[in-house]
Amino acid sequence: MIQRIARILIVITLVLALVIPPPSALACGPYFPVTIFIQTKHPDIPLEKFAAGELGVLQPTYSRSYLVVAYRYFSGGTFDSSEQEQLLALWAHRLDREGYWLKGKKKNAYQVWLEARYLYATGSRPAPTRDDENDSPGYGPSSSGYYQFQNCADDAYLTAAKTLATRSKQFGQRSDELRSWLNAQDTVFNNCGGSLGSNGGPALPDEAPQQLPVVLRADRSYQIAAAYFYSQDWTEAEQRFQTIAQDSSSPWQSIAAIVAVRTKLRKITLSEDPPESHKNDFAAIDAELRNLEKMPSMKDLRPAIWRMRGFVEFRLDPNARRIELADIIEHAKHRSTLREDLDDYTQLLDRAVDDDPDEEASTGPRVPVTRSYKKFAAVRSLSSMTDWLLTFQAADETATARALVKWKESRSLPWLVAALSKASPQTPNLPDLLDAAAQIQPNSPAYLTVSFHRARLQAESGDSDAARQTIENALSASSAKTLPSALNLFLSLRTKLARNLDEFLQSAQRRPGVVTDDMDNRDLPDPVESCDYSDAETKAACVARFSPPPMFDADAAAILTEGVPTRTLALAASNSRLPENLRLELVESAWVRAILLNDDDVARQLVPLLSSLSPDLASGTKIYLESDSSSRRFAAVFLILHRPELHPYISVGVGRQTLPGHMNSYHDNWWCSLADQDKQDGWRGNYYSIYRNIDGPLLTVYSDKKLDHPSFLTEAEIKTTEKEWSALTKLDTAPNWFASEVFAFAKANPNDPRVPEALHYVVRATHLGCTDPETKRYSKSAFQLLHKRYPARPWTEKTPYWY
Amino acid sequence: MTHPTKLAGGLVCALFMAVLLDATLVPSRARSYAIHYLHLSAGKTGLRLSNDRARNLPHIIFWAWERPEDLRFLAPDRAGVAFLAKTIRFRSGTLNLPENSGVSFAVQSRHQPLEVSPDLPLMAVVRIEVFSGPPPQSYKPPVPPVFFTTTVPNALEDRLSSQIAELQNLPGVAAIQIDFDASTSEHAFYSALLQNVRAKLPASMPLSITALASWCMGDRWLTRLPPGTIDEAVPMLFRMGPDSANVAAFLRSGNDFPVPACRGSLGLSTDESLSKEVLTGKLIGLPSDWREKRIYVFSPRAWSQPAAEKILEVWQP
Repeated sequence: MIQRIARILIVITLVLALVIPPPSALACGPYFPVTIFIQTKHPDIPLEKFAAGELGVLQPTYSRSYLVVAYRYFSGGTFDSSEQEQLLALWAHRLDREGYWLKGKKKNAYQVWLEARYLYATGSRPAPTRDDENDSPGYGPSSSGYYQFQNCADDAYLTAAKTLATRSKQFGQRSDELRSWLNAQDTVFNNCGGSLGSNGGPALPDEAPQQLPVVLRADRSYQIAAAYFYSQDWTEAEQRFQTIAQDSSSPWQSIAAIVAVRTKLRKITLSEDPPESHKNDFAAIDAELRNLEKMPSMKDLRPAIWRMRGFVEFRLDPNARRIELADIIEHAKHRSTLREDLDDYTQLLDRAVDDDPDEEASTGPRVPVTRSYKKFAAVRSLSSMTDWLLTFQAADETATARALVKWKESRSLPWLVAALSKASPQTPNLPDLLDAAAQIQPNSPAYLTVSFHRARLQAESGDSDAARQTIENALSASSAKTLPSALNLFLSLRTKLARNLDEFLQSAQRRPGVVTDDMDNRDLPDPVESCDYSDAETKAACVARFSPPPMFDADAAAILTEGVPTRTLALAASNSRLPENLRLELVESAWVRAILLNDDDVARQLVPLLSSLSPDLASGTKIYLESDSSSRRFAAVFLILHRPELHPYISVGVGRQTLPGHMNSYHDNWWCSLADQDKQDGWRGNYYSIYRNIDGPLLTVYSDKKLDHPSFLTEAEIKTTEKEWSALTKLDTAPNWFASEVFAFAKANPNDPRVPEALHYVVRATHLGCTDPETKRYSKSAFQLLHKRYPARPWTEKTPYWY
Repeated sequence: MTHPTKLAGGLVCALFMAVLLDATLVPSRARSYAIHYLHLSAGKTGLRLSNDRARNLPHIIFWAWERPEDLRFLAPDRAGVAFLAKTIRFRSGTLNLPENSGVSFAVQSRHQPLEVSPDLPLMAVVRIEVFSGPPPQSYKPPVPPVFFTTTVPNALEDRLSSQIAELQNLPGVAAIQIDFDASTSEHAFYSALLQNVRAKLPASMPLSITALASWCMGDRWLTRLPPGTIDEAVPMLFRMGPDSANVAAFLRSGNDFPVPACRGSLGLSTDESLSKEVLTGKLIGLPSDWREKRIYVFSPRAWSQPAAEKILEVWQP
């Protein structure tokens, strides 16, 4: 009886084990490394080179702030070092990298203030923050409470720090005067985070005692006015600032005049009313600011006035402000408000052409850029820079025609770039354009852009020799080699023009500019700090991404996969000009292809190279070589089954991210069906199909997305390629193919000791390989064959499910 | 034993054997039966986690992320808004320290304006992020903070839960949502945090969390939370990377999520095809009664009235 109960319990336990699903291998928000050979949203990182005028091959898909900079360089202008710093600050802000890129360049204003406090006032209470863990000091709650705004701006902390240093020198670090000043300033900043004074109202410094020196009494008047300002008592604050502005003895007279206007502005912007309802207020404030700007006493404070005017006019008359800003950016030199000007101009332009400023600023406009080019003729009409910008970005025939007309009219460099970038062999007056392009010297900021399009047009017109020469000149006479995106674009064109396999391989191997997890979709390198892993192996792999080896971009990978015969692939694998990682990729692919195509000769010839580049495979390939003809193919299948990194295609970029011999949880194992690459409808675990697409700037080289066979192939080789590719595309997805091969061998060789193991691996492949609706059937068949014919074997016991 | 009793017993045995045989030969089908059965029983026995509190939340909720949002066009009886109110950042690895009372974190409140009509149901969202390396733009006092009052630091969960729970005081906030893609090693910490937050909220206030699809399908750590801790876990059906293929396949299977807390709602985005297919009912295999689920919708850009209207029109029970 006990035995019976035990038996029933065991059966029930086993049934439950089958019934209750095992934990799924789904991941927690996985990110896959993205390999970027040519940047499309912004220039190469770091952006310092671009800011300094090394523009590479300018892409119309860059965010507009970069194109503005290019336009000014093309027009003969420059940016001084201060302006370049401002550009970098704007880009770092927009790309959300201030904390990394500007680290050490600019101190956090609040930190400057605290440092000054520690330095001059040891022993007294610090300026409080709302919360030690709040990383936004100076921010206070809005009236609704739903968000915070920057109540105490950076300049408040910087001015306080500067004044503290001055007063410390004047009165002494341990003086009562300084302590009094500091207590008052602490009280002022107490209002920043929305804290209140003890009476529930503003936290106000005490009125200055008469015995204090005059300058400290003036300071105190300003501090009290500021406390009212930060506590949002606008009437009192404005009145007090106005009073100070009338006091010629106060060192705060000029600033107070500006802050009085700023008080009015703050009152409007923090009100819940829509901005449109404040048009008249904005107009009045703008008039006041224009008056202030004219006053000689305001000379040093003009940048502050400009910023406020920019803020007001942005809202008051966006179109007029956009036109004014375009003019300022195009012509003004040594501009201390360039960052704000460029920020405002591009935002206003985005709005004027219905683009999303948020999207454009951070990730670049989508393609096709500048929808409805014709519709925005008015936007273009009053600024030559805006006209150029939208025309260069637009991808329609009207824009192409306009670029040519404008170039003919002006013969200017910006319009030459625009016209060339849109030209085709059918463009009227192409020889004139190409002649003008030939005149551009290597020291021109447009040299690489012009050279690339010149070479492209020469190639498209059939003059391959001239195109090759233009490319060689550009690469040898310029900084292209230090600009990955430009270099890779030239190499892509040179790949297309290769006269032999050696030339092809020289150009096909390209070092990506960035390998990144790209968590924010901005195509930026991950911060170096992101490699702060305790696991040494993971850390090493992460760090290695910052100096990636040469890899294949989509064009090269697709041509090598689909456009050359297996024998050429084998030849390429033995090319010593290629780095080892690419030779391994080639030899593995060639060997798998040879097996799939039953090309025993090539497969056997490749074994020594395959074994030397991948010693892990040596024992398997040895068995393959030593097998007789009846079992050699199965030996290869058996080996491939154990090595999910093997596939017949060439990987794009970093490729598979799992150790050889280990299964990838995201189905990146072996291969999917190679049929109809162009018709693949997105994600099916088909990694080759996803990454081999010709897109982005590669479309300027392969405009119809069509990849031809390399020109150095003979007709016979092309026929072989087509025959082989046709055969490969007829093959099933890997798990199904494995199943068919193993079933056939098992039928003929039921007693071969490898069969149970092979069946186990077939079932495994149907789980994490590239599956299709038929795979389930193969999985079940393999499972049933294993359990029926080979019961109680170790490999059978390791196979509790089919998939 | 009477004949009918014997007959009934025999039938039960035969049925059991048939199921046993089928399960042995076709484990996939057996699993499917089991999932189906467990779902039914979960629904009948009230395994859903404290959904009473969440019952009054709107059927459609728009996520308002860190960008200026003017949602005054939303009528209170048609939808709600879950707005990102705070982002809290940790350095990776710190959450699992045995003694975490000294662990610091950075809190950034919402900086972008949010405009809503007065009676609109609001949910305050706290996003928790774990980063590697030093915190970007962090402030570190240059010397030991001698001025600060020294207090005995509380446990991390306690300090953090206070930061989250204080959002209940914002006007119009009817619920709290936490958005934290906790890794497996962080589940224990997250579980403690959720319990801590729950304790600081009024008994009637719903606590919602966003959930990676894997939490709802495979890794069932949520089911180990004490009953009543959370009121819903919103399966995030976007920004899933290659995992989206698995999730899409799961949705097409017609099954609901095995984890009960995940069954009441869905997290969708306006810019992903899978979300669009779910929203428009074009996803083959998706049961029609899924329209009874509450949806949270994310937009990669600020909401406009036409974009919101489109959602309101298509997602009706």
